[in-house]
Amino acid sequence: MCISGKPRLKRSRWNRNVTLTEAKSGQTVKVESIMGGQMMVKKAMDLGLRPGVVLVVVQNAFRGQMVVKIEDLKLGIGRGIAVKIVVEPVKR
Amino acid sequence: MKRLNIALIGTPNSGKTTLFNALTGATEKVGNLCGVTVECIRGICSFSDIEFHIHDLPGLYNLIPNSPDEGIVKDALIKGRFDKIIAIIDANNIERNLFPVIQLLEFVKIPVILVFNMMDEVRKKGMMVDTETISRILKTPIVPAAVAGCEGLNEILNLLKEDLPANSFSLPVDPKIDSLMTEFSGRHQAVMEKIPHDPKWFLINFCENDHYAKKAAADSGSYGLFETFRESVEILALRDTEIYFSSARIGYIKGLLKETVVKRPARKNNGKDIHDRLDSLFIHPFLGFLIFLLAIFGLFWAVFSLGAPLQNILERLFGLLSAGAMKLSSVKGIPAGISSLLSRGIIPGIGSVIIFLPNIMIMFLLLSFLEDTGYISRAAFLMDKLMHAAGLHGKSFIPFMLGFGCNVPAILATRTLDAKKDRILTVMVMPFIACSARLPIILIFTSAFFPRHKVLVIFGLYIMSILTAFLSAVIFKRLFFRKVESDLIIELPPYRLPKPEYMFKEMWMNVREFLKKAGTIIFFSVVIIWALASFPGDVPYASETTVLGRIGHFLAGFFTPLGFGNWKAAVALVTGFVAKEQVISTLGALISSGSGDIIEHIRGLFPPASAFSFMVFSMIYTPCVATLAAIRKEIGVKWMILNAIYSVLLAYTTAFIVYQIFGRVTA
Ligand SMILES: Nc1nc2c(ncn2[C@@H]2O[C@H](COP(=O)(O)OP(=O)(O)OP(=O)(O)O)[C@@H](O)[C@H]2O)c(=O)[nH]1
Ligand SMILES: [Mg+2]
Repeated sequence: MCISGKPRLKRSRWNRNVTLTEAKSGQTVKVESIMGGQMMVKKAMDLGLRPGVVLVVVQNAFRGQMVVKIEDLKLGIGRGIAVKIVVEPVKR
Repeated sequence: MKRLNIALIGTPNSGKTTLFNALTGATEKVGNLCGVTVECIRGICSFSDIEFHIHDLPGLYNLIPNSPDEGIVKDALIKGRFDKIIAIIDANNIERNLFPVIQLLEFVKIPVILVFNMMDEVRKKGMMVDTETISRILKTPIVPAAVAGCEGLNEILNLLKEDLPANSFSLPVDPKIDSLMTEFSGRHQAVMEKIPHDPKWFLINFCENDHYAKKAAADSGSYGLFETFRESVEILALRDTEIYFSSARIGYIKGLLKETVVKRPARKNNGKDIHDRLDSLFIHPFLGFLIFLLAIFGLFWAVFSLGAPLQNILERLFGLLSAGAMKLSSVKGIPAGISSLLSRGIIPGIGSVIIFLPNIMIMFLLLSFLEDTGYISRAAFLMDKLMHAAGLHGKSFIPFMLGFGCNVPAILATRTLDAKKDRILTVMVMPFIACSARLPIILIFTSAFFPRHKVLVIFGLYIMSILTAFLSAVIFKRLFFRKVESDLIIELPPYRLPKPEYMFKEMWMNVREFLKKAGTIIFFSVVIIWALASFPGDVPYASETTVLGRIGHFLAGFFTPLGFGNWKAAVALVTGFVAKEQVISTLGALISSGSGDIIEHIRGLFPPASAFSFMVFSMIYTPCVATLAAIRKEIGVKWMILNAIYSVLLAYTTAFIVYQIFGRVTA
């Protein structure tokens, strides 16, 4: 299953999208799409990880679990989920 | 008196149980992490001649449930007959917290009172929430509150007793889809009548792949009809219907909050607040780990060292009591049996367990401290990789920590895990986590046999208990569920200063449980043990020719290869099946001849190698009855039987190996 913010549109500009695991600590990114099993996608959405959401990467180091912050909410995310989240860097 | 049924619903960690406690005067468990409450708890609150029956429910993110605790809420909503609902949201994160509340408003047709909780924190952040406008748009009363500080309680109570209009919210969706729904329910009236819910809500739920709705659709006999409907919505929505409706809801919430919530934009220190700064320590990949180890070390150190002075006092007290009871025998008019029952049975038996009350109190106090500060979720986050290596889910770590207190609530706490396989695995290895009932065994045996290496041995045993759990998880996973990969995704709540009164109240609840156990189960078994050990009356107390001695001899044969073919040890282990404390209380009743402390007597009973093997065995073998019952309740009787057999076999082999190695070394 893959859900994305803009379903039927192909991106025309160059593709700047990366997976969440590639985002650096302190970077602000916008969630583009989430791939994965239905259960996982639903869980992620329930916790606020949805396409279109802007989040700050609090910690991404040593190939370990990551921490992201959506508004005032901190989430710990395992690497296995983070690789399935496609994000686009946002300039502040 | 009028009676009203009230349900408390909201996201996890939003303060439902805090409000419940404030309303009913109960002391249900509160903690700064998601998933503290995992079952429906009832309480009564009487106010101006109305008896409110309040139901505290588990938290949930989405009314379409993922995990069993969320399923409980849905069940309660569908089956329960509530008169009013209090929906609580954490106003720190209104957007996400409103999601299940909107779903709730779509569903129920009874009055709903919205509580915006944590307003104290919200104000501190400089955030502004226009609750009046939101209330007007949603057509529901909203109470801004901080229930931990009792702010807003009166307003809530007043709204509870008032006659409120029933909720009539309806989620705005695309007009085309809306008319499709109206048309469908009009055309298939006969089918829709079989479904006891609002047609629009039901159709939306069906489109969102809700299990309950799907089952109801199948029961109505026209599943295909609904499925066709779903497909036509999909065509109109140009996407998956599940996503479509949740996006519609999110869109609605966003619109609602756009004008009504104002956040203070720029913050000092690069937008980093105290929570971020604490987190840069506590969840740091290296530092965080170090701090975690220190914290755990500190916890056990405090339990054992800080408890020791009090423990000594209690020990002396029971010594005096026992000596006093001995003297009773020389008093005329008191039968000798009474003196013997008191001085040999009850006082040493119960006393040998009660003396550890201080340690147990400290254990529970510190565990609730870790929970209330919000640290425990961080620890689970840090441990994720380690847990994964053992095939467990990162979140399983939280029940594990609770397990050091008592395995039973820890097993219930696994309900917050989404995947059934993760849950089974966690429940199956939980009994290996050394609960506080096994603490007396550890302490008495280490003081008796390893007084110089006490700390080392205690830690060794705890590490052994964790390793046993991990290794068993690996084994069970290999045997039963090869491929489960469920990754961690966990909410890290804000740090909060724990309220000492809450912590002590919670500790008191646990202490009360412990004392109750000591006063009932342990008391009665000690009396039975004493009676069997005194019969027949013409042989000395607790000698081999008593009834108990004979039974014990028969049992002891099984344990001879492990080095403790001593009949008293065998009896102690068997009684420990009822409650683990009884390993010690039985030994206390059997070996103390009414004087001297139990440690001396135990030293006489076991050679060191057998003592070590006995300790290992009693840490691992069959969980107590209450734990087995909890396992059965959560994952079924088959797993329970497997667990009992596996743990006995594992305990037997491990103790055998330990005895062989240790026996050689000491010999
Ligand atoms: N600052 C502040 N903290 C609060 C307030 N109400 C509750 N808390 C804290 O929030 C945390 C969660 O409270 P609980 O009552 O356990 O939350 P719950 O909704 O029952 O959580 P679950 O049972 O996990 O669904 C605890 O640490 C409380 O002390 C409040 O009004 N203000
Ligand atoms: Mg609760």
